[in-house]
Amino acid sequence: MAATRRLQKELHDLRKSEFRFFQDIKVDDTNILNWQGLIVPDRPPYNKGAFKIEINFPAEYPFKPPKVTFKTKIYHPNIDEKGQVCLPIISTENWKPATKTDQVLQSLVALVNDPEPEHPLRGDLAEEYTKDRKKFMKNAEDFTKKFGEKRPSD
Amino acid sequence: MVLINFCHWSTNTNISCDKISSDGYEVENLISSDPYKKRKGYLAERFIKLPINITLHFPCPISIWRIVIDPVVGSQKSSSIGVFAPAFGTAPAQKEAIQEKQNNVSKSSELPNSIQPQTFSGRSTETFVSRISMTSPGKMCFYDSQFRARKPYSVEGFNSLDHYSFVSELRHIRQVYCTRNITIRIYQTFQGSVGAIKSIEIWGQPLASCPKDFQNNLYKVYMEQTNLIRPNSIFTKSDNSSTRGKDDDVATAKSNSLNLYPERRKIQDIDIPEDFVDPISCEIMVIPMLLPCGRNIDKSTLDRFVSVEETWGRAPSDPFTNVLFSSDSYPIPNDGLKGRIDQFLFSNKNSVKLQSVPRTVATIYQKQKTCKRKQPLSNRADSGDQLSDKELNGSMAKKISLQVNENILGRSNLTASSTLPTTNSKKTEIISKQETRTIGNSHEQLLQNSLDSALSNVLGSFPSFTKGKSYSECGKFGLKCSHCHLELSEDIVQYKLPCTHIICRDCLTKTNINRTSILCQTCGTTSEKKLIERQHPNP
Repeated sequence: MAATRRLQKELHDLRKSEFRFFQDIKVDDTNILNWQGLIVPDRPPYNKGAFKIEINFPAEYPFKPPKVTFKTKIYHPNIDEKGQVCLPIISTENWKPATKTDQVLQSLVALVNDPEPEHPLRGDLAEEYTKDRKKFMKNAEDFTKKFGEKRPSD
Repeated sequence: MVLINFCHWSTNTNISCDKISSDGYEVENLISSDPYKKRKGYLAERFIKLPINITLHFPCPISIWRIVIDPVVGSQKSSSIGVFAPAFGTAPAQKEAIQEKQNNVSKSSELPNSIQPQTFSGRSTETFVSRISMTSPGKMCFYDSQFRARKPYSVEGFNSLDHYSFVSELRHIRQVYCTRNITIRIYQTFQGSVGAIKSIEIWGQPLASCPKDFQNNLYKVYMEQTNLIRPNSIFTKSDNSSTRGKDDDVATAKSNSLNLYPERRKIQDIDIPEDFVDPISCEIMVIPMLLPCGRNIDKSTLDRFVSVEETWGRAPSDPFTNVLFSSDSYPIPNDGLKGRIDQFLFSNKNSVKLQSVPRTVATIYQKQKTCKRKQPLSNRADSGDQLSDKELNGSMAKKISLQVNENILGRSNLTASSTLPTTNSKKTEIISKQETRTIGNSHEQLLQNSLDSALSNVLGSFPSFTKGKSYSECGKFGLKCSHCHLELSEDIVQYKLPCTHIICRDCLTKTNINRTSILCQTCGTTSEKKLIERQHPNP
């Protein structure tokens, strides 16, 4: 499979770089196309917890983009209840095979830290985010504390 | 001290096969002293029907400890291999006598095949010992669990069978612990490949009943040769480095074990230079393409990227910068890098890690061949210092082209083209005459020569065909400079204008010093100076 060599290298590089915002990378030995890990945002209101995500690589990777889904519930305008996230960098039409997974993760962490209410997946949260930021922050923090994973100790 | 590998050339073991082998992959390769041959292994000829019997004839009766077979030669794999021992009389002495007789027969007739009618005449002459069938062929080992090493031989510490993909026990019968012949039979091959054996190792010891002198001699020669080979082998460096810093006992044990299982030495991690790896697919590049952004990617990756972009209706672009390719910025094959990659692959061709890398380089032998082939083609114009053979071809090509030209003068183009076959047949006649003159050339070379000369003739006749009035033709009637009308001889430097007229160097430099274009006095067309070409008189 063409994707294997590339994914092995990316995984190796990612583990070696000790990327602060993405930790606890778990990859099944039998299926390198499926990665799991923990997103650790550093901005309020999400800095009270961590979020488990799953990255699914297609067999055609790197010619087709990976799919990222949140396994942990998150109170975020750009991430829906099913955990789907809208990230331009990994949309099928914008995907570039030269894009590395760490770039994808960086833009994902950036999106989590700075929601984009202009392109929401959850309109209600986007509205709340723009109109009543204080209320949004409180709700999001409560939500993160309730559902979020434990942050790995630094 | 370990056992003797009776497939080492120094033991004088004989090997024969009842079927024809592929060129260059003879069964003798398996016991060859030439490491290049030995690496190639054995391949049966394509049309050979299975089973294939390979018989090893040892210099003395031996008892076998292990038979290690690697059934994979490149993509050719044998998937089922059996071991047979000859079935003979009960007394070893009697058996030896028979075998001695066989030996004499084979020696006197000078034909290695003469031994085979006896060995393979029927099942009754041989005893089944063991067989391994594999779904995915890999290294296999037949072993005798009841083997007892006799001093100075020992098998201490080498009882593990872990490094073999397939193992099978040998029946502990007299023919295994006292034999002079062993037959390896290839029953089946993997997915229609031809019968293949990369290497055979037969580890054992000579029987105690052998003459002492002979035993000592065998032991001495074998040890000398294996020690002699070790310093030269590619893997010694790693041997030394891996054992450095440990006490002597461990070191010798290790080098012995490495000697025992040569395949293990090959599993060395080699560092693949970053430059050779495609940054997108992370594989070693086969055809590196230099992109406008300065990076190299493999052609397959680029093609795939372009086809994916096509599905989105986008024009081909640089995968890194997204800048569209244009007429003056586009990917080009990176020949220099390709050369370095090929050299790297070639020098590490034994590496397991690189075995799956598709390669476009062949062996040195084939490389030389292709070089030879290219030469006559590229020398279409034929310089004078070539061999008479080629000279003939060249002058012939000119003659024929002149013939064609004469034909054109008189007839239409259509008829001219119809005369080509006749000139071709003339050519082939002359070629065949040439061929008969070259004595001592192999059939292959002759074929090659005739193909090349035929090609160069056909190609050589084309330019004059299309140009109509070529320079050489004009030269016959006396050519004049279009400006000063000076008769042009061979020692005047001449330039050709885009309108095909000739101008001498004096006119070009004197009359047109500060102008970028030049007016042809003969036909009155102006042409740019940069399009003017130096014209060389034909030899």
